[in-house]
Amino acid sequence: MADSIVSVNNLSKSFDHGRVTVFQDLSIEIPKNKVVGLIGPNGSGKTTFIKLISGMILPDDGEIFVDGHNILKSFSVIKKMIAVVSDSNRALYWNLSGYENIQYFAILKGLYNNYNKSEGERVIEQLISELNMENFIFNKVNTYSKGMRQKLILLMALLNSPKLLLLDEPLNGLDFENALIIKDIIINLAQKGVSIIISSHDKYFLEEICDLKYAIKDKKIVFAPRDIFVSKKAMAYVCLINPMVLEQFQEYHYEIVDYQKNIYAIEFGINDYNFFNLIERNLKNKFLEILSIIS
Amino acid sequence: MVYLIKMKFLLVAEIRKSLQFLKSYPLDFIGNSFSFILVILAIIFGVYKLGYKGNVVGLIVFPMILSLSGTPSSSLREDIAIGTFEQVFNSSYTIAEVLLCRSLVTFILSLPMTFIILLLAKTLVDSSINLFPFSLIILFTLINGISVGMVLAGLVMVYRKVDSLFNLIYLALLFEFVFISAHSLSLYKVIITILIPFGSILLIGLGKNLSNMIYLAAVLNTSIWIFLSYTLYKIMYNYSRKSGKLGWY
Repeated sequence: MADSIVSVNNLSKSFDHGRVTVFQDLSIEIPKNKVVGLIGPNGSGKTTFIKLISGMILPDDGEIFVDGHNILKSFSVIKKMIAVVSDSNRALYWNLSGYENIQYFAILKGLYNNYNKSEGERVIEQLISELNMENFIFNKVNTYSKGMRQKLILLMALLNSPKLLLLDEPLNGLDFENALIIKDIIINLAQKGVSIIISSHDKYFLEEICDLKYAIKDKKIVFAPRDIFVSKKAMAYVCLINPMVLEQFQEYHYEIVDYQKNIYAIEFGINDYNFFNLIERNLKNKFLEILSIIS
Repeated sequence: MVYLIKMKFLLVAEIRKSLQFLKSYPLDFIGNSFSFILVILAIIFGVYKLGYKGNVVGLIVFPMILSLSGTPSSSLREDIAIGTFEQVFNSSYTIAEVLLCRSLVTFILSLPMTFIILLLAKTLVDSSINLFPFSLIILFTLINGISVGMVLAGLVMVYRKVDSLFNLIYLALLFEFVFISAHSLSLYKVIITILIPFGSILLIGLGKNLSNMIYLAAVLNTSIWIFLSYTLYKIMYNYSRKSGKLGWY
């Protein structure tokens, strides 16, 4: 448990008076200082897991520890060390400016309990500068693009220097460029030693950014089979190079065709995040390596 | 002391946010205040004509009662609806502390309106309204208003859409303040008044006829509602977290 940022023991959670069981006897240790992905389709329980860790939902049975603190017994301590980022369309006061939102949530997150006024303001200024938000921070939030709002929410999450950052679908609805910016911010935070748990249904994004990937299966959280994702992509790439190979991988036909569509889309100038993943993640060498093995 | 400083920060933040909202929607605030003043003055006139002089003081603070009882639940609903609830929940303050501070802000902002109503009521209706019990009434209004408000906030956590129930509660409160005459109190009436929300205000509304027993009854009424509020809020807050309903809209 000492090396775990989140430790879950025999957790069970159901809703609607036990009619809908989301987790059953779940135990998992999530290591510190890692970027951990939680993958699963809509409704699989990703957000519920995030809410259980953040204490918004209480478990029916079992225990949750965050950095060694029991969530039921030391909730006020845990609140100081975690930050949650969820849907960027919400989570902000739209008729206030970005700076006014920051000022309000800085106090709520206890920034001025740790720093005096001028130090606190310096922390805010530094975060604004790090995230390149100087140009729009004094504008009303209702004039922001989705990417700007997501940056603002990330900034507010960082106000209390969290040990654990919980991101629920952080790329939802973001275009290609903004997704890249958010991705860079997450990588930067991870390098600073912040433990990060990301829930997403975008397996390519998770594969790119995470040290560890988990999937929700049969009311449990299990290691996601990374190799399958890689090999499917690799095969897609291989098939692009040599469509004859496609015939040998009929069981992955639809995924391969899907990747091919993405790849063709770029030729027509469509910015597609998945395609960008495919080529920007330096997977090309991996693909070529697999290609050499296959051939 | 550290806790008080922490709460002072929160109160300042809530005041600043409220003023920023007021700047964004000034007409909404002005319109609401004017309509409240007019409606309450009309009711005060009616009640005075009926001879329930003891109810006048309570009615003067009635807009404040509505604002205070409504603030925790409405601000909670607003946070849930616009999505800021999760941010507030994950802050270093408890939801109860945030709602308490928001109620204090409402109290501060509704003070000018209350004094305008008092001034108009003294000028137009009854010049004998005594300022001493009135200041005491303001204090009891604050404590009772927050107590009732927290119970309603708990209801929002569990049941979410409770508008019609709240309308019914506000109507019941109006009925209480208009029709339960505090002009003369029998023992039976005192016992009833101790149990109902804001009973302390009705009791102190007696003005000149205040006795130690009335003060005691008012304090008892307030204590009962503080206890009820604390207990019910805690039960509903924990239930909503357990059932996964907290933060749902």
